[in-house]
Amino acid sequence: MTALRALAEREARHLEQLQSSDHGLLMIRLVHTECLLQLAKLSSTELDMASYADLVVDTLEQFLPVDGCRLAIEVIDVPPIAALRGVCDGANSTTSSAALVIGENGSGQITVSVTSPELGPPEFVGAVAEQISNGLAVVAQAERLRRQAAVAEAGRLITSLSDAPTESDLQGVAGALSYLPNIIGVELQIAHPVIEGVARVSAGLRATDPFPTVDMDGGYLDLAVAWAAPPSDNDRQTIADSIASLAAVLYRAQERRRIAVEAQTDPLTGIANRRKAMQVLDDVIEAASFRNETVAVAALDLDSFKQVNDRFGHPAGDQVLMAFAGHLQASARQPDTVARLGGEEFLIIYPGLDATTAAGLLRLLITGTPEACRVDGATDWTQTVSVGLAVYPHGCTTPEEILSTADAALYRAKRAGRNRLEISTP
Amino acid sequence: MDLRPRPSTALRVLESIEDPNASLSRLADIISLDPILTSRVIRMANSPLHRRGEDVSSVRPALSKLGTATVQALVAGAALPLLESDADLGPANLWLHSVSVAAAARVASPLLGVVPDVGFTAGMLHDIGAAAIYFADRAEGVPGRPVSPFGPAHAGAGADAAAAYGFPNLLADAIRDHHRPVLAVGRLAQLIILSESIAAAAEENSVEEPTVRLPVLLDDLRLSSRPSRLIDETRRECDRLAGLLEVHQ
Repeated sequence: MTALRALAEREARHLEQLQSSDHGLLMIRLVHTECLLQLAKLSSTELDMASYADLVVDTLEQFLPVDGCRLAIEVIDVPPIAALRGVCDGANSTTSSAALVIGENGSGQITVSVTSPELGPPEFVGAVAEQISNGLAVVAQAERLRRQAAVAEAGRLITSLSDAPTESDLQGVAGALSYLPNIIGVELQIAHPVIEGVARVSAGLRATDPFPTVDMDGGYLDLAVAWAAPPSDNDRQTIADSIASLAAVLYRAQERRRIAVEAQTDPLTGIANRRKAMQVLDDVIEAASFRNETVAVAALDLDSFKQVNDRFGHPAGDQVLMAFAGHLQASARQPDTVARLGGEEFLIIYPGLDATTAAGLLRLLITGTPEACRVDGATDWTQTVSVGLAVYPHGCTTPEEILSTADAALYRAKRAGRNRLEISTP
Repeated sequence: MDLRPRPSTALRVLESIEDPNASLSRLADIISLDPILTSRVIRMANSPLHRRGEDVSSVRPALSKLGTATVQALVAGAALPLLESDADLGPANLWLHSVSVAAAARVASPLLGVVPDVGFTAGMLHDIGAAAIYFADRAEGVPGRPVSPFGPAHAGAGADAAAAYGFPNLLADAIRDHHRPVLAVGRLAQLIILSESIAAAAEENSVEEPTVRLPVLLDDLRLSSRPSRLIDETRRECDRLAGLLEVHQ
């Protein structure tokens, strides 16, 4: 303990020794060299602007601890690196400075100046400023390239979307869009997802002030983008354009889907129309021939339906048609298709059923029809239905043959007195 | 924060530049005897530029990370304020107190299962808040209102400084907790509390009064070591450390 205390008491003498000119010069030379080396090390393409600025300030603090030495980095209108302002000392210094023009989109200028009243010759301070400026150039260039790549990738993905984007297409776009915020501080939200996939695009993103809003005709899609840091006009335009074309693609996809659905639906009853029925029949027959299965197809015709229209008027006739369509849907199994072919003609496709099973279902359906088709304004009318059944591949193998076979059976049912089922026999 | 290192440590480090036999471990021995330099190298080793792998909590691994040249320049940079004509060496007795607590911590570390170098570093830095308060007051130049650097605020101020410097949580927690009840704190803080008591017993002119006498403290911590052995070993460690710092004339 005494040795330590003696040492502590001799500090004043050590201080004098340290202040002798040789040591002082050696220390300053050491600090200068190492400070420049450390700053040179910071020129990395892996750094972003904010962490670069942090490291510069940290390095200067560690090597230039003299009061009054400070760093001023002035950023003029370079949006992605506006964050630098946070660490800048705004003081306008003329001691030494280096200017860096970021260029390209005319997007600004960075001025670096280091003020050091006590620390060495102006050449050193100039070298520090130059080193920082060099590093800034490397980091800014890398950041601009990363940003351009991200924006270009998002734009490429969006413009390459087809009119009927798949889920994985949309996920790719979502990925590209969600990467953008890291690069240019954009936040994006799709406010009213119309198509399921769009909901995924907005997942994980959060909106602040809305900009810009892409509002499609009829308010189908409402996209809002907010910028965390002000982007350059060029970025702003690219992203707004990208999002507008994404909105347009989604809108077209939505329209196509709507038109396609309309084209396959009977407008009065809401069940499939003839076109849809023929499509389904084609598909079901193809699958059945592949799997060696049977398909039962029933042709149905409402008995004496003309009298309903004549006696009770067309509105009552329409009601009967809608009620019968509902009755068909209620009696159908999940894989079955019910369709209105036109007028009072209907069709049921039973994939996988043989004649016996289908006949059982159809007899129940026939029995239930008068009750199901009772409508207001036609109280004394009993609606019945005649049904002809054909079974693929017994005596008929193409969709056309199946339909004509079922029609022939239906004709026999009508001839035999209506309100009954006839099964075609091969 | 503008903290000054000891002139003697700075001198020894500068000597090492021209000494062909200077080794990294000798440099580490010297630097670890100065709280300010210790905090600087640990800070830099944990800075984003050098951060690779684990937290650095003591001087030796910090030096192997940074390399001799960088460390010498770092010391020179830290010592630059000493060249001012009115150079101030900081709170009286802070250094003597820090070194003796660090010495005691190295001796007592095995009792609590702490890595001795980490224990030593924590001992060296435990009152860094006192230096922070001292220099902050001096910079503000408040006349006629002397604030004791070792007052109730210094543990919190030290923890703040440790956090600002990016020290590992292990060190920051020990600095913050070293005046709390011994059974309510972590291992490293317990070691500091114990070491302050050992150092106070080994040295009558301590700046801090031990709040708990050494035997009671050992009993609370369920340690069976004899106080006299800890005190003797701490005195010997202090003498060894003084030997490291003898500046060649």
